Amino acid sequence: MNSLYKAIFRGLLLFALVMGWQHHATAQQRTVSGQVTAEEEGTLPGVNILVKGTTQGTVTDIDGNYRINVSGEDAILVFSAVGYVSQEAAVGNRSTVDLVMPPDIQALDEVVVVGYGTVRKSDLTGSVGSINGEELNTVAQTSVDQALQGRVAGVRITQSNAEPGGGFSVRIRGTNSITAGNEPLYVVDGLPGTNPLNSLNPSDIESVEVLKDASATAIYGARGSNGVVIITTKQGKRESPLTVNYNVSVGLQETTKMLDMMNAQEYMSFYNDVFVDRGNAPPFSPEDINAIGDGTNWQDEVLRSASVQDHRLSFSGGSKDTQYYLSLGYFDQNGIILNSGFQRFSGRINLTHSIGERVQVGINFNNSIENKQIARIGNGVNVGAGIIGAALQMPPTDPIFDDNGDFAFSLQDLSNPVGQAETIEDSDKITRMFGNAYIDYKLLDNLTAKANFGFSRRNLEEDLFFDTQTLIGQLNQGQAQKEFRDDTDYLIEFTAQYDPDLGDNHRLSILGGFGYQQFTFNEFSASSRNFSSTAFGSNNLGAGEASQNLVTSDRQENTIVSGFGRVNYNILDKYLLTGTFRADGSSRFGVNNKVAYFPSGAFAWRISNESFFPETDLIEDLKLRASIGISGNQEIGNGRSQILLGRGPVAVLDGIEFESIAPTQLANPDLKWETTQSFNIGMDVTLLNGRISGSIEYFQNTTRDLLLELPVPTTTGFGSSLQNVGDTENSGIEFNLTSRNLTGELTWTSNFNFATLNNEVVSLGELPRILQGNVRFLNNITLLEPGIPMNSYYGYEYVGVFQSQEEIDNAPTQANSYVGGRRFRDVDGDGEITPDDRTVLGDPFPDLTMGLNNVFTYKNFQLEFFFEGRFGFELANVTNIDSENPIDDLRNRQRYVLDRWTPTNSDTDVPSFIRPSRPFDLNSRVIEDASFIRLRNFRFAYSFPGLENRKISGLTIYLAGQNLLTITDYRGYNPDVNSFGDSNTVIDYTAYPLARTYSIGIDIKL
Amino acid sequence: MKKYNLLLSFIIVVCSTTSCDELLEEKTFTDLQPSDFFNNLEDAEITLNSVYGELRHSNITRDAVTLQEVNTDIHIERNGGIFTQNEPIEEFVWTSSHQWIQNDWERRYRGIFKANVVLDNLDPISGDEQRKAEIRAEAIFMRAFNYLLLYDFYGPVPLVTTSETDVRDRPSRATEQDMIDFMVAEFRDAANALPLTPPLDQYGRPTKGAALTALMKLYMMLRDWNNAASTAQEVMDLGVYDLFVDGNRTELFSPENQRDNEFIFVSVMSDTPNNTTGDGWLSHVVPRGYQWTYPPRQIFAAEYKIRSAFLELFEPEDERFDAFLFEFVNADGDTIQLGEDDARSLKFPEYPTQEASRSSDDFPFYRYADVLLSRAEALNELNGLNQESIDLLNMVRDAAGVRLVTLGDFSSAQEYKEFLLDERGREFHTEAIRRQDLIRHGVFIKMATERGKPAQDFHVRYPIPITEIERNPNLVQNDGY
Repeated sequence: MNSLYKAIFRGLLLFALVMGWQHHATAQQRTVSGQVTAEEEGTLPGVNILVKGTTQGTVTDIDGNYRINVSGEDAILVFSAVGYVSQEAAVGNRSTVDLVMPPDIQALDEVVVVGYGTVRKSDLTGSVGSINGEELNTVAQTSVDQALQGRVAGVRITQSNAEPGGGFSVRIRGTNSITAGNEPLYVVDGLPGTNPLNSLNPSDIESVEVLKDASATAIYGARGSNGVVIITTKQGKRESPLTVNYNVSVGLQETTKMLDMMNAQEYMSFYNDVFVDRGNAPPFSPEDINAIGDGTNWQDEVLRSASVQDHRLSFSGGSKDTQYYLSLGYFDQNGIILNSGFQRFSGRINLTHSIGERVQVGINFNNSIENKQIARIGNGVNVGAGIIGAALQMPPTDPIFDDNGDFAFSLQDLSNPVGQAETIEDSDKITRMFGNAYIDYKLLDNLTAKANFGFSRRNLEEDLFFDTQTLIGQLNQGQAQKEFRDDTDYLIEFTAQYDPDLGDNHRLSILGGFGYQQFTFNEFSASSRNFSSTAFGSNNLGAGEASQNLVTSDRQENTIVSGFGRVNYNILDKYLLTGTFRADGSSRFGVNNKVAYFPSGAFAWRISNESFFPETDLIEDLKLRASIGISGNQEIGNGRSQILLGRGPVAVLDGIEFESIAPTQLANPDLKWETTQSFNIGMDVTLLNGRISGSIEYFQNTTRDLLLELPVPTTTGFGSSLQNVGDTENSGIEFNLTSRNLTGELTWTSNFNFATLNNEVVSLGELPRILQGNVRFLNNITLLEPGIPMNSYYGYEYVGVFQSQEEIDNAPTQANSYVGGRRFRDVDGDGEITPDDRTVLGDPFPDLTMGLNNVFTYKNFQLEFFFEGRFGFELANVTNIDSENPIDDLRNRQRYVLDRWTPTNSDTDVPSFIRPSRPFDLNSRVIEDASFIRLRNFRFAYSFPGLENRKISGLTIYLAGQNLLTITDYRGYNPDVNSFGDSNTVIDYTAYPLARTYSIGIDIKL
Repeated sequence: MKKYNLLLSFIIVVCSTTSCDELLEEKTFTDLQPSDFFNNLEDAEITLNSVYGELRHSNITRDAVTLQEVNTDIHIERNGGIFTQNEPIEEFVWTSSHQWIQNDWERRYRGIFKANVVLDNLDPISGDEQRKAEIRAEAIFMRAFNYLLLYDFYGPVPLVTTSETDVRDRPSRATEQDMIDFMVAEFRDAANALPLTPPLDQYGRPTKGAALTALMKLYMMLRDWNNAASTAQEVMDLGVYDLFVDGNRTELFSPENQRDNEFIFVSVMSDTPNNTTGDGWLSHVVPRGYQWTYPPRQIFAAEYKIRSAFLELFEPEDERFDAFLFEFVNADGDTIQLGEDDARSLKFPEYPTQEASRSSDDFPFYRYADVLLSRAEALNELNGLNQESIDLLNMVRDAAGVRLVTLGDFSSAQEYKEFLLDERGREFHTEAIRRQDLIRHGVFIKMATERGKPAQDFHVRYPIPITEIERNPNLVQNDGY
């Protein structure tokens, strides 16, 4: 895969060079021909041949023969093919040039970025997933996370919200922690703790490395246990001319799915039938039904086709001393919900400069401005239901506008969704800058010291305004709010790298360093209500009613002090040893446990380099590796170990409100790190002259001393306390394969990964279980219990419709049961359906995740498509509960309810919906298999040949698509979603629908 | 390795000096640490506020009506997400997993803890000694009051009287006698120290009358008629309270009169209510399409309704009958009739200043009518039919503009008792004391059974929340759960 791109890249570079030499070309043309062969395979078809300094090129035919026109005797032919080392041959006065291509074993010697350094891929002892920026099809993608979805085995990336600029939740090798954060540590160009979110232009990425096992992550100690994502941005190349790259794409998005709702006529006759079956008068007369037509299709009214455009411009190059990479980006995406969107302006400066032989200074700096127009989505109910929630529940008989042309109000406790989209203003402005500056000083030839200074600041300005034209606006009385947030951190880090010369057979590399990082957080928010005019929006809070003014502010700070080191020892290129150690001190922990230590060790054995290993074409490289180590997690709030006094509940005396102060938590001076012990064994193999390479590994992560918000007896005055209690375990197998299936004129490269995952709660200390997760008046929808996956869905098992009174009489007692109603299983067999009959209905962890990328090239065409699949997991389709058992009568429902049980339609599993018995609403009818296969990315490109005598060196046009196809049984909008963001409790409730995107783009190189 | 060691030792040197400790010292800016606090009486006042804040919440009426009336002859609830909580209560199938039963338990212990914080930190503080004594008495009352509310629901519970709590605490339930003795002593203590009028002149703080009434209610619950009657008399003798007779009886709860001296102890709502400082009851009551007096107001999907059978207890001239909504005119001018089991209790009215779903209606715990009727009931239990009980009953009936009764109207003490229970229903519906009244009269289970509910004797107590049992194995669950 890499080589393929390198070949293309080289080709493009040559195009660039052509530009420079264009005017040297003379016109004396003659023909050269020949045959290209490979040492092992014989004649080679599909080898690219270029006349150096021109754009003139050809490819070898099926027998490896070629014919090309050259001019003059200085001509040099450049031969390149995937899997082979490119060759140059001076033509001289020859008319036949035959060539033997040596296989490219360099693929093995790629360099991989790891914590505080790089290693040769062949020297790697830990588990690192590496992906080249060029491999990520980033067309119309907002963030690194989005582009990484499905690309690396064992890395599960779920979008919490498919809105433009929406957040992602990234889980590497499962979920360790119940309470503390589970998101990985991001390291951008050596600056840890900086999740770039949407601020990074994906084109700036040189490579992304995902550190998975402790051997790789323990160097990040207290922050390593969730895995580490290292992002390296592009640098200018030494002694290369200016390359200007401009990439523009425009696209169109539409929803991947609409839910099938009842139209007005179906809705009216449905409710008439239900009401009559209840013994009530039908709410709609035949005249009503005849007059209504199709009514309002609320989904249609709030969803739209939306455009997206993306411009990326970069300049790179370098002299012997100074290299530069500069980029600018403009990204503008309209959301598929009315009035939602995201824009990003980004700029990057990466510079390196050498001062003499020994000193190098550098700077990497990213700056971005993001604007987000937020559509009101969320987990609210009734009047609090957002645009999608209201659109799915609002009666189709309700109009959008009333007779006066104002947004109509419903008799339902719901806010007009079109009105919400049009009149509620919610926008974020984010100014983000982060970067680092460093000095490398070569003390000796083999000893380098480095000082690294990093900085990150994220300023968020949020404006929120509820006009009174909707019910929710009225509820908030024309509320306006303005909020400022500032997250700032800085880093000071000193490292030294020592590579003593121990002769040819031993290579030793030692790294040591220490660092200090401080994070501060500041927030200020003000709001008011009852505005004299709605024209002010959130721009004049003073115009609100003074008694409704609300002001809050918050400030927090935490620090981390670290010392770390790593030793890499390579004996005879056969035995590889890595040891790392980190000591981290964190302000967040109890006075008794401020500092913790995180060691790791790894060993790899390159069996194929042993003399006894047969020299065979089949297995070119074989390496076994094993690692063990400990890393930590400190992702909890600040001040959690101390007794704190904070704002208590408001007292009201004499009708006047009084603030109070009260203890907010129990002290825990012993609070310490959550630690994950990780064990990993793996095998890397390269077969058939590098045609196939891959790895397989097994891991087991045991997390102990969980930072658990432990439920405690409330007689203490508190419901919970942050304690180091409980264990969890994640284990699985990961498999990666890169295969060059075809290397001829038509090349085909496949990249395949899959991973299995077993997640399990091992212990919760003294507690038998913990129930979590509240939504839509449903409490405790998930279960934490030793022996089962974390936050498994916990509810009643539906067994079908009660067909007769006789069946009810003979069944276990179930409150409010009736013929046509839902029947549930008496799990504990006590003859009664009680909360004890709740059982595990599924879990949100896919048993198997996979990604498959295929790239085909033929002449100047390239076709690439990427599938992601996840299998064996469930998702709580809470949206469907609004159809199963709406919060109020006369709300719209999905069309499937028309198949409800009646005495004449008894062969159905859809209940009759006569009585809305609620306690059973979280049941197996709404816990759905969410397995899916999705065509995430598709790209078809054509690169123009023969650009000689033009000012441009490369021109590619492409068609691209995202989310073009999803195969799933899941009935909601999107099986890959979590309405609770990065929470371990995963649900789908009226989430922002996923968009399908079609783009067309042009990539120009000068 | 040398370099590695060198670096490591450098780190150790750096970190072993004080600078490392300082770097890792945790600073808090938005929260205070105990060392910053409890230095003066002002701090104690502010902490005492949190005790009041725990008691009052914006769904206090709703939750109380569900747990104290939906399982009686008065209220039912239909529609809305909270039917999840109401259905098991109405159907007598509630379990230890019921969210609102859990919320109630947790709220009480938060209040008790905060009262303990006040009491534990008060002594070393110097300041106005009289106010200090009042603060102590207020905290004592509030702690005992929370225990009384717990006792009402669950029976005896763990008695926690210190703020020095630990996650490893696994307290057992107190014995019935210890629980009662504790509350009696604390209410007496509070009654002795609290003034006749609210401390600091702030309506909502407990008074001597509040402490005595709480004590009386405890004695009533225990059917200790002697002490109940005498404690009621003590309240009457304070000379602070009388019945509201200055208009239609329903106007007692109007904005003008809701702080009348008939009220003895209430949870006060804000004059400028927001989502947390107002009461959300009304939006749960009115029917869809109802036209508010002071719009805009929200109408929730959930609807609390009155059972038609309950309305038959009222005589036509009873002013208290005016508290119910039987029909309304919608936006189109159509009159909508509310049919069987569909009338609404509008006892707590709208306020001109109110939030979309929160009003300034105080939630009354105790009012003087209850003291009078309790004494009447206790005397009837002690002495059989007697004139004082008739007179006390008539005070309330007179205030309601309904015909007075005489001794001759009743053939037995039992008949009087039953009439009195009906009177209490007419007087106190929607004030969330029906469940305890029915239990005291021994008819809570019987009436539920008559409504066809699978009620059993154990249902007179709620279960201790399962979450609490799981966290504290020393707690023994109530029988039947």
